[in-house]
Amino acid sequence: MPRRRAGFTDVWRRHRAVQIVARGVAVSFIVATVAFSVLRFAPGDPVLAILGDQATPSAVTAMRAKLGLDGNIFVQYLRFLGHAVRGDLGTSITSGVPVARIIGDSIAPTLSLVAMTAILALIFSVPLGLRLALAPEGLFSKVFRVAASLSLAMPGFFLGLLALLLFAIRWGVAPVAGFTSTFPGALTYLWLPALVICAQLVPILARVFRASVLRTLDEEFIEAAIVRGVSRPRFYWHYLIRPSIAPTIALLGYITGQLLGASVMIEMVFSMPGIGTRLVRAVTTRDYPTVQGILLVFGVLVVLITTLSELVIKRLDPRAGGDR
Amino acid sequence: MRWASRLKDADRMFLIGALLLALIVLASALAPILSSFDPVRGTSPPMRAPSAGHLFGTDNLGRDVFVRAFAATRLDMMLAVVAVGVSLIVGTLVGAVMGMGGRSKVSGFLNLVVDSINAFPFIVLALGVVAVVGPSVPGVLSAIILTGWARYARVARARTAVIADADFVNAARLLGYGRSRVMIRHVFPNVYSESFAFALSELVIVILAIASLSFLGAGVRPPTPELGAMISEGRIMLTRAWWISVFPGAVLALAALSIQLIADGYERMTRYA
Repeated sequence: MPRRRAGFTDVWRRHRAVQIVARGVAVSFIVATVAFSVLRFAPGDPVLAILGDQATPSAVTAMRAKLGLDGNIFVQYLRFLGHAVRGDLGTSITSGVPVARIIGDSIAPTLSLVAMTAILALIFSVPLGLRLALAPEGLFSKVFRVAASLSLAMPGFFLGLLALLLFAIRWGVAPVAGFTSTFPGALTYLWLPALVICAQLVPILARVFRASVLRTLDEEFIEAAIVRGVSRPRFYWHYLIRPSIAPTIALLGYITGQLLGASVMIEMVFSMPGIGTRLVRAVTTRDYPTVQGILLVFGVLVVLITTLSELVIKRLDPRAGGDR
Repeated sequence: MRWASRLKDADRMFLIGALLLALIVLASALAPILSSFDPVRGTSPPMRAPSAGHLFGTDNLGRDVFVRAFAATRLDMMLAVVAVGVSLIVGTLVGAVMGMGGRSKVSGFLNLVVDSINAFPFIVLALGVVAVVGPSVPGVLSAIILTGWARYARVARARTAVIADADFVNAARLLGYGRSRVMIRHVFPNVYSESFAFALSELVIVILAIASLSFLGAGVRPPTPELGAMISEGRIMLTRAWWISVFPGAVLALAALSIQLIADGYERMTRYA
């Protein structure tokens, strides 16, 4: 192959960060396609569901236009994408408010909940995973295994309900419902729901972290560090935790979708005015433009968080996915 | 030595899970038949605490919570088995085609569909389907099948790609067996065992998802007894009559736990045996 000047493909290949971001953008479009398809390809007709069987043909045509369901499917698709890129997600049928505004108003509680959960989950999983890795066959590990299967089989919304009953109603140490977007104030509303989600998240993360710590312990640099007498905090952070944490963060990014799904349920239980609550309300009132818009936002959020976690991993562990 | 102790552990898990599940299935099969209380029409005094006459108490409409909870378990289990069965078959077939297809256009397209469905939070996409089909038994089933098959397809795709290149499959090809024979006799049985183990663990998720959708009011609707819907109905009475929500929740958790023990035990037995 003849020599040529460094071009686009070289930037592409060398800068994995560019590659990660570009893939995120591409996947966002695919996710938008799924959000678009649900209303069109799921069995049933949204227009008849809203108007009923007795609707006049003109009313049907008008509603079809209002939902963006008129015309050829490709035209619909291009129109949907065109509007979505410009931030126009349609208008709610039930309230007449632009869907983008509904989402903007309700996204803060959801994002705070997810962020708080992720932080708490890491805070719990890292020491837990370390402890499990350093004493794999002890009583502690046995207790953990039993507790883990119990909490994974527990329906999240039921756990939330029990927590609400005990902490908020019986002991009064947490608010029963609501949210505030001021910073320290929000924590009073967030800690209990976040802990409930953590109950199901921590066992999974701790198990993965434990496995990667075990793998790290086999590395030669661990032995070298011990021989050199590296100080204890430095040993734990630089030699044990940092090289081991990448898979855990990758998993956290990968199960963000599940995390967002869990937050839908928990928002409902704790009556938080988040995007999940709005989605459920839109589904039960058959507010299709809102459903479609929120689906799109959920999909894009998942892609965004996955992309971010890949970038974080790249920084933490340069070995991860160098030239693949 | 190590695998022996694990094997015993796996056997124990499997056994406890199977016993628990058998008890639950037995109760949900017998309770609605043997009991004189109707799961839908209330005939007893309302809001009574658990007692010998009403093991789980009665709800605000005077219905026996015990009979209702187990009638609900029967419905939930049947729905979950149907949903998992259909998604397992469809997903495994599609995944096998994708795995065998290599880099063809069809499998490229299917890959895109599968990955983009899997990118979504399961419950969110299921809610989207329910919005169109409506909150009902068919709504729940189609929501879970339409969003669930893609996960089986991913498992089967990965497994098929490995198996399709294994020596014994290449040997079968060299022997001159036709494509379909290789596929059905050599590849599929190996893919299927792994998909089946996955389906067992998926059964837990699906039961919880059915209850979750109904809890949100986007699944099976009252007065039909369904565990999630019952928990939701009892929510507003939680301080005065905790048993209306807590017992159905406990039954749901036990059912999920029993299946999870079976799934974990099965997976470990097949992996280490």
